[in-house]
Amino acid sequence: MNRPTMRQRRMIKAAAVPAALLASALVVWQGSYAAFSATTNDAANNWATGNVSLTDDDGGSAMFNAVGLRPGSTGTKCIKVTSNSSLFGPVKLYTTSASTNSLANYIDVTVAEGTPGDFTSCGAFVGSSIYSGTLTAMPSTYGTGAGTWTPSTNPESKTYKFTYTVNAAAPSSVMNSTASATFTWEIQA
Amino acid sequence: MSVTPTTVDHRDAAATRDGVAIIEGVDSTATDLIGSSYVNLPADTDVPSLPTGRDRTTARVGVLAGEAVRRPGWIYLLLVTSARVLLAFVTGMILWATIPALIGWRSDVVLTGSMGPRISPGDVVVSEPVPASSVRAGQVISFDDPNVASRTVIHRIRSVNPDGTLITRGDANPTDDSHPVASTAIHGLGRLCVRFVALPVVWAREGALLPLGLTLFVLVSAIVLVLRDRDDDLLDENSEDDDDHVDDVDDLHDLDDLDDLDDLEPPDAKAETPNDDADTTANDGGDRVEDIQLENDDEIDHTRLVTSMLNSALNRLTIVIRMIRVPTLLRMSPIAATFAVAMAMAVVLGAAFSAFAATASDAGNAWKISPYAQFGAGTYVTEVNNSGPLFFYRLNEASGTTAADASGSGNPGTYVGGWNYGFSPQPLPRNVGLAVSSKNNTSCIASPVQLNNPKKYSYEMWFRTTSTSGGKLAAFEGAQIGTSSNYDRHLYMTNTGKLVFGVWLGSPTVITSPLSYNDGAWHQAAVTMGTTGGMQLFVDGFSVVTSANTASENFKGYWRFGCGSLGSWPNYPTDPSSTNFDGAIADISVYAAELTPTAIRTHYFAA
Repeated sequence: MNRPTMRQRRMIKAAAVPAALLASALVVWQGSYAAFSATTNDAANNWATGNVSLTDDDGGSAMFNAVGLRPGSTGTKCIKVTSNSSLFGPVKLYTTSASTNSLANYIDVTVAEGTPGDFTSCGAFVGSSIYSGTLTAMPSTYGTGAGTWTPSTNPESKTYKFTYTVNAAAPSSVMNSTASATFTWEIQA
Repeated sequence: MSVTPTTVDHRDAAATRDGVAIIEGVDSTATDLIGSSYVNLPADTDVPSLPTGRDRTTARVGVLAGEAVRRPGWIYLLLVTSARVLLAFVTGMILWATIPALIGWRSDVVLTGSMGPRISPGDVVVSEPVPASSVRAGQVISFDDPNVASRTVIHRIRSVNPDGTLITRGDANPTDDSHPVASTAIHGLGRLCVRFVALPVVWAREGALLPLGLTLFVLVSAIVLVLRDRDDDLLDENSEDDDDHVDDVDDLHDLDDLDDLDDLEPPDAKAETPNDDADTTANDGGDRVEDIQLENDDEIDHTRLVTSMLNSALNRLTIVIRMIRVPTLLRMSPIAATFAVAMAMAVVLGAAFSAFAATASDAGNAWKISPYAQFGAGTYVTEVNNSGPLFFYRLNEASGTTAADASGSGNPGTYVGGWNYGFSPQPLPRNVGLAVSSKNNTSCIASPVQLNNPKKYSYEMWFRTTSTSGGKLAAFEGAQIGTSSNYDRHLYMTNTGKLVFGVWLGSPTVITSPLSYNDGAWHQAAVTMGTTGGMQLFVDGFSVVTSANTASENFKGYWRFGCGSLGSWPNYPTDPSSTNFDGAIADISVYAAELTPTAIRTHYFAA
């Protein structure tokens, strides 16, 4: 077998680096095109690298639709949240689109995290409190969210028991007013 | 250049290694590349008497001359070319990832995979600062995480809200990000995605030493290979004088090929690239050497570092450097530059999360204060007494057998069979007073007044239970206490927690609440009977079920609470031994009249 001649070596050497640099440019272009092309908008069903999923058992119903309240009115409801994730991270509870009117200052909310219980019934729920305060003061972001649950198996569920009380000291200025909230659980991994 | 076919490559390598002392120096240096010790290990340690490049070259040729220099084989060429391609490719990728930073773009190392599969951990996303108003759905942006302070997230825009905030989502996430991104939180619009180039950063963060070490090994091996090959070049150049100028031209040609890449650099860097000068002096080795030596003298400058990187990849600059007597440190600079840039990259680049996140929400919760709500404390007792009860047992006693009559009518009740006193929480939030809870299946509260066939009557009480065996809350019975042969006008709870109001008209006539109330909360229950409204059952201030019947059984009897007979009434509780109510009761009031719905509602909202 012949050895490469000096000229062959030089030609190969001369071609190698520009070719490699050209290849890097092509790779970057391709990667960028794939990542940023606006036509690749919806890839939500791709689970190539793992996924997180969180569901609750409210069946689309709100836990509380409490009308006709008076100062001192109270109510309790449980909801079961299930993580179905291949990656594990903390689950936090917070409110979104909670009303900030004065009534929300007089809705006292306690939330406990535990088992068992579900949306139908709290059953023999035993848990520990993760929030106690007014609806207004509830955390509103994942970063400040309440909760100590980090799933470690798949799937894994946790029940949250909510109790509200209209503060007995609510003033007459809240007459006829309405407070509202969406409770959101979020898992980030 | 004789060849021994069976041992071509091995002998080539051996000959080179044995014949050129400096190669040994490079080898020992290469093993220490990770640290900075190469500074202290000049490659020419083994030949102290030959301190300069030119002299070394001469010496090397001399040594090799005695060994009949062999030209390397194809496999060696393949290896070294692969190494060169690899280094150039990696360098190119690093440059793509870093150079845009020089014009103010932002590079972020992707650490998690929520933008998979298109953007993976280890990718570097280069984003261009853009006005927030110019972004639109479908684009990928980097932004401050609204959830976690000082964390950057790279996600795709799903939609733009009318107020300018953005709804984003990771491609691999099932739900949109929970918080809209403020326009002020946008760092930039994704422009370049340099795949996998920062994987070592991810590995380092995860402590994945195996792939990290493997990568390092491959890169160092490639560097060693290329460095050794450069020495061979020098051999070639010196052993084939005729080719010298051609070689120079080739070298410069390579530099020319890189003109396009120079465009990536800022203008000031481009102005200093050696190509222009080199072109004009292609056949004048001396001038070219001077030019490039100057380039190296200010190599510590950042932009020079980048230029040097390019040249290192080309494996050209060092050839010249050695020819012009530069110290070993500078001769090794391409390696140093490679790592310096890699390190700088790790420092300069931000770490962007493309967070995996999913949410579940319970939406639409609402709390509405009734227009009938009353405010202030202590009005329930007043309102009840305004309705004129026969008696009013608050059941607020701490002990004893007497249940005081709070109506002022002087008809106190009697605790029978034992009760737990002082039950809390108190039933009426704004009216001081606790409650009693049944202790056993004989617990009962008797009243002292015998009544003859009441036709118009009402009673109201508060109860709280989680029992699933129901029980009798109130009744009119022939016997003041114990078993009665006549009993009706009663209120009982079924096993499912529903309330039943029934009278006996030869057979049970009942009305049943549609909902259950064994939920552990205090509730007001009230029944009224009369010619105005017939049979009515109220819960928590409002009528829940009515009947047109206005008749009850005709007998003499007593009102009693928490106990009594039931026989086989519809949905009667199945407690095997007793129909006693299993729970807490409080604030019982009985009326010899048909309370109006308004009165009952007023009572409730005063509680």
